[in-house]
Amino acid sequence: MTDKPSDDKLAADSGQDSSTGGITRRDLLYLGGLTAGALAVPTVLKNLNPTSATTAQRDRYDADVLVVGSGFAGVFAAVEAAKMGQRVVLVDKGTVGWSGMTPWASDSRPFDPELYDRKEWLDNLSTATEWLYNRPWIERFMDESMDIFWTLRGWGTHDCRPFERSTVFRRVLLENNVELVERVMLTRLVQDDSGRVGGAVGFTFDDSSEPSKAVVFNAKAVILATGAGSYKAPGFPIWSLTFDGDAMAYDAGAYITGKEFHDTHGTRSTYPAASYNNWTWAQAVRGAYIMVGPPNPQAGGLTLQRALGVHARGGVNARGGGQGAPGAGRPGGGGPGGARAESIAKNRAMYEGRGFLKLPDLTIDWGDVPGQDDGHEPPPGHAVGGATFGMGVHKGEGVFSHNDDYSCQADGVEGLYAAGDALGSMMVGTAYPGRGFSSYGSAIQGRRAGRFAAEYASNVAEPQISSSAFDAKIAETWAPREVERGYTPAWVIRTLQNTMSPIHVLYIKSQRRLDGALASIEYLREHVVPKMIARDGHELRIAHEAANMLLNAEMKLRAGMYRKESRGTHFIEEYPARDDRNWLCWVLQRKENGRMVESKYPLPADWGPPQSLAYRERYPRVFPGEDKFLRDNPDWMET
Amino acid sequence: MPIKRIHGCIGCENCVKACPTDVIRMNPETGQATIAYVDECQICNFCLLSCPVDAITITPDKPLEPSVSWG
Repeated sequence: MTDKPSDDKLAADSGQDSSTGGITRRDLLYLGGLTAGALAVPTVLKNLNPTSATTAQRDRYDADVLVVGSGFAGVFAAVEAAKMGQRVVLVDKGTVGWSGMTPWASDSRPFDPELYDRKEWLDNLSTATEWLYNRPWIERFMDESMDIFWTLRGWGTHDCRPFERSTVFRRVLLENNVELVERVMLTRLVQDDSGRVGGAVGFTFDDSSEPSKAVVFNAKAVILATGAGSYKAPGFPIWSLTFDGDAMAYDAGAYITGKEFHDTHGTRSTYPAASYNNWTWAQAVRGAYIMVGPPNPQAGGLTLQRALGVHARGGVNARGGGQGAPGAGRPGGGGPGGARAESIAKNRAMYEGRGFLKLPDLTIDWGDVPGQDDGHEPPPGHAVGGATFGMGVHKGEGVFSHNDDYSCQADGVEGLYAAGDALGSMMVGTAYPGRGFSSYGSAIQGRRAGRFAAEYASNVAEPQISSSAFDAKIAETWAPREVERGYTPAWVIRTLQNTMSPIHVLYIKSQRRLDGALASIEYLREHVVPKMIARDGHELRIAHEAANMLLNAEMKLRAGMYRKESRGTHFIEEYPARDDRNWLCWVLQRKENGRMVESKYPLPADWGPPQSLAYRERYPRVFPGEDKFLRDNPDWMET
Repeated sequence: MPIKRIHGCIGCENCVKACPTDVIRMNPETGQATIAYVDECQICNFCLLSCPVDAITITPDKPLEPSVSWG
């Protein structure tokens, strides 16, 4: 997935009224409508249509490698594993190529070694991601992104618009004998007695012509390519992604990481729920839309300023100055037209004739890309925040995997792999450093996960899993269909949204407010989730999505409390400064004895900022209250 | 309303498959697509983009629906 042009994003510096940022009372009422609705209606219902798991039909699939999700990561994983001779089944909650964020991905930033300097990219990304990132993954991106470009070009994705890749992906998957299972939601991984993953269970939710069925998968290895997620926030087309992969992996004992950081897309004050309005530019792209120039060391595509928007004006990023001032958040700095247009033109001129852009049969219709050239009319209204609450940084959150091979295997769970936005690879760290890393990064990781999972699957025996183990997971899956009286999943989601969407919970954190939100989320998880009712297949899907989002909410709240510093998109009022001595590490979360437990995973020492760099050189962005905090706590960095 | 109307459906099922959030279902009796779960519409327009006969009407506004209905 990629970002939209920055001048369409939350324009924190757009010169609007400082008290309300130009948001009218009517806008606030509209945006706050969720609250009123959730409180206004009764919540406990009788399930008039319960069914039993034991009477449900079952479908069964056998695979060497099971791939979950059909975005960039899943497609590349499935094709790679199939090319290595493995029997591959790909399962998706939607339909290949239409699912998740991939059909919105329009641009990329492949590293062309003929044009770019590796050190400059690494240095710029170190600063942009605030030093909490993963250098070897960036190196792999620089090594392999051109190859991904040529592979996609060979497949034909440069001849179509983003959503039209569905046809290409389907053709490529079928040519490689990948078996497709679509419109099936997976709910649980299944493990043998040693904890090794040997399959998964799920269900068909479309019961319009026949009742929902349980679906059972046997597999030697499972690759989660389930993408990112949000809490179905209005204005961003990611409602189908509800952290399903994280939830399955967590349940299986994997470590999850990166939940304290955010992706911070906004929407528009007029029609804030209209996702498509914000993405028309993306669907207008036909061809290979290549970002030009190295990532900016400060601008970053998605800084905390975007999340805070009008609220933190003069705070985060207030300083930094010069070309590419981070407050602007725009490549090259400046507003639309002017310096920015000049910068893009310069970069493009530099690019053309040197790399792949000049190929005679490659179509890049820049004129069709609103926001990149003159003539773009933005959607009505002005920029407002909050369209992706719950969503983490691309590749910075999810299943934790760290080993010398960069195999994408989940730490602590044999047979389980992850790729793309489902993999907490930390590739680009704590704040997304500008556009162009996501889709090709997912492809690179998917291909790698496919290779290692295939190697693993070809060297191990079939897992031995009892039928009762499958039965138990099917029973858990089916439970909301059997509950006769309880809460509707829609109400649970509304209540979750009410709890998590306020800007002062996830974006402007404090211990007290995190505690308050956590108390509510914990209650929902413990007492309401077991009593959710599902009256049909659709509602069963929503029930599982609600449970997965609640789990994510708990992770985000606990990770936010655990990291006792501010960094990147994580800002907590009690500690409004970076603490390199104690927190150049990732926060891991894992289920231990039924409880969520946090721990630190330190980064290798040589990834951190050089000691020779002064604090403000390491971190040119300024958090609200940071300067005063550092003055009042002169020993902060020494403790 | 987000997705508002399907009129002139030829039964190709493209919109059902394109919808990421299970808003649209086929009616087995009529062989046509119907709006089944409008609350989940994220106004992404994929149904409209996938429809070969321009049968789908979408509006950009989305008023809040009650979060439960009496069953």
